[in-house]
Amino acid sequence: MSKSKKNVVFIITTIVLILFMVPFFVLINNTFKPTPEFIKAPFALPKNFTLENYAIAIERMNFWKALSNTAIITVLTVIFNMFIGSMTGYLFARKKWKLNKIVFGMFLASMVAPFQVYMIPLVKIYAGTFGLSNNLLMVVYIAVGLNLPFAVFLYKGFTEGIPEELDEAARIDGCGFAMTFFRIIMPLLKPIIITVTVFVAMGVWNDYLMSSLFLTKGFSKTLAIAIKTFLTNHSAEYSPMMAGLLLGILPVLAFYLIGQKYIIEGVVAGSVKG
Amino acid sequence: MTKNYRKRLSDIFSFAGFGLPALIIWASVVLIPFIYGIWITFTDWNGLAMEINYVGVQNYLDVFSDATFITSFLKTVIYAFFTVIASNLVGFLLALAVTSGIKGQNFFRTGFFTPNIIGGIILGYIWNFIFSYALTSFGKSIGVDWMSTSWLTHPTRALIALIIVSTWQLSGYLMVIYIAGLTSVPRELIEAAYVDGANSFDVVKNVKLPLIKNSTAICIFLSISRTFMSFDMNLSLTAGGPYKSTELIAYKIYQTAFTSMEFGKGQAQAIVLFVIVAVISLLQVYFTRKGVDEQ
Repeated sequence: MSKSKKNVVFIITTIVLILFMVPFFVLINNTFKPTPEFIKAPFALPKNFTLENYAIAIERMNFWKALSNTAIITVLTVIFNMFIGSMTGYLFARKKWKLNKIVFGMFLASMVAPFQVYMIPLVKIYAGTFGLSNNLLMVVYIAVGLNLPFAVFLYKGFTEGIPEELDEAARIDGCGFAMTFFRIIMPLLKPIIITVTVFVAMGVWNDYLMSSLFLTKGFSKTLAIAIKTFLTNHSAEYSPMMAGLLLGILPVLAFYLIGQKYIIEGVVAGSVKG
Repeated sequence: MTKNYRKRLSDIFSFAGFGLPALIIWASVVLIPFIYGIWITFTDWNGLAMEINYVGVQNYLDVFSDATFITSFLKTVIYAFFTVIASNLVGFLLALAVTSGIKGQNFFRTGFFTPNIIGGIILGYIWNFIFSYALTSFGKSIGVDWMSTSWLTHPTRALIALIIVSTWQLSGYLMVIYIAGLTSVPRELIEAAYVDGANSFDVVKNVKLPLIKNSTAICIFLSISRTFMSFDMNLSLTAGGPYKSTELIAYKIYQTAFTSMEFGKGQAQAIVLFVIVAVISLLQVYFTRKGVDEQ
C-alpha cells in the first residue's frame, strides 16, 4: 500500500477507535460530577469536580468485600482447574484406555451445551437440597466443573504434542506416573496453562448469571452482582452508579494493560479451539 | 502374574489420582444436572411445592404453544441475524485496517478488543446511561426528535440498541480472529497480485477472503452461538423491556424459571435452546472440517 493510502487508513481507524471509546469517555467524565450536573450536561467536562461518587459507590457496593470475593473465587477456580485439568489431560493423552476415551468423549459432548441447561438443576441440587447458597467454595466447585471439559480438551491436545520418549526416559530414571507428570511434563505445559488460565479467569471474573444464582447475601456478593444490586436498588444516584461501574472495570483493566498480549491470545485461542 | 497385577494396580492408581477427581466434579456439576434437568421437564415442579407431578410432554407442548416464547425466539433470530452480519463486517474491516501496515497496529488491536475483557453486565449498564441520558441530551441539543427520547423506552429501538451494543463488543473479538487469519496469508501472494495490477479491493476479494475461509467460518459460528446465548447485556441494557419486547431466549428462560417460578417449563425452554446451540455447533464442526479437507 502506498504511504498516502496508509495515512488515510490510519486516520479512519483512529476516528473509529475514538468513536468506539466514547462510552468509556462519557462514563469516566461523569463519575467526577454531581448527579444533577450529569443529567444537565453529560458531555461537558466536570464543573464541580468531586470524588464523592466513588466514596458512595465503594460504601454502597461494599466494594472491597465484593472485590476480594471475586478474587478468591477466580484464583481458586483457576488453580483447581489448572491442576485437575492438566492431570486429566495427561492421563487421557498417555493412557488410551477405553474408559478414558469414553469419558473424554462425554466431556467433549458436554462442551456444546449452554449454561441455561444446567442452571435450574444446579440451583435445585446445590442451593435447594444441599443448602449451599452464599458459599464461595460452592461457586468455585461449580465453576471448576463447568470449565473442566474445555481445559481437559486443550491440555490433552497439547500433551499429545510432547514426545512420549520423555516419559520413557523419566521412567528409566525411576520416575512413576505422577512424578513424571509433575517433574517433566507440567513445566512444558506453560504456554497452554497460560491460555487456559486466562480464558477461565476472564470467564469467572466477569460471570454474573451463575454466581448470582448462589450468592445473594451482601457478604458473599461478587463485583458483578454487587454492581447489579447497587444499580437496581438506588434508582436516582446516577453519578455514584457510574463510579461503581468504573470501579468494576478498573481491576480487570489493570490486568489487561499488563498482559494484553496473553489475554487477547488466551481468550481467542480458547474460543477458537473450544 | 504378580507383574501383571502390579501393572493393573498402578493403572488403577493413575486413574484414581489423575482421572477420578475430574470425573467426579464433572459428573456432579454437568452430567447429573443435565439428566436431572431432562427429568424436570416432565414434571410440574415450581421450585417450592412438596408434591411434584408427572405431566408427560405437557411442558414441551406449552413451550411451543406459548406465544411469548415464540416471539422471544423470533426476536432472538432477528437480533442474531443483524448482530452476526454487522459484527463480522466491522470485525473484518477492522482486521484489514490493523494488518495493513499502519502505525500503532498493536495499540489499535488492544483498543478495539477492550470491551471483551469487561463483563456484559457492566457494559450493558454503561450503554444504558448512554442511551437513557447522554444520547437524549445530545438529541435535544441538536433538536433531533428520534434521539430526544430514550431508545430503551421504544420496543424496536431497544432491540436496535441491543444489536448496536452487541456489535460494538463482538466486532473487536472477531477482529482478533480475522487478524490471525489475515497474517497467515503469504505476503508473496499479495505482492504478486499487486504486481499483476490488482487494486486493494481485488486483493481483499480474490486473495485474502478465499484464504481465510476457516477464520470466517469460526467467526460466523462463534457469533451465532454467542448471540443465541446472550444474557448479561440483555439484563443490564434493556431488562427485557419495554413491555417485555426485548426478552431474548436466554433471558426468557431465566424469567420463566426464576420470576414465574415455572421450573419445568423453563427447563423445557432451556432444552430447546440447547438443541439450537447444539445444531449450530455440529454445523460448525461439519463446515470447518470440510474447509480443512479442501486445503
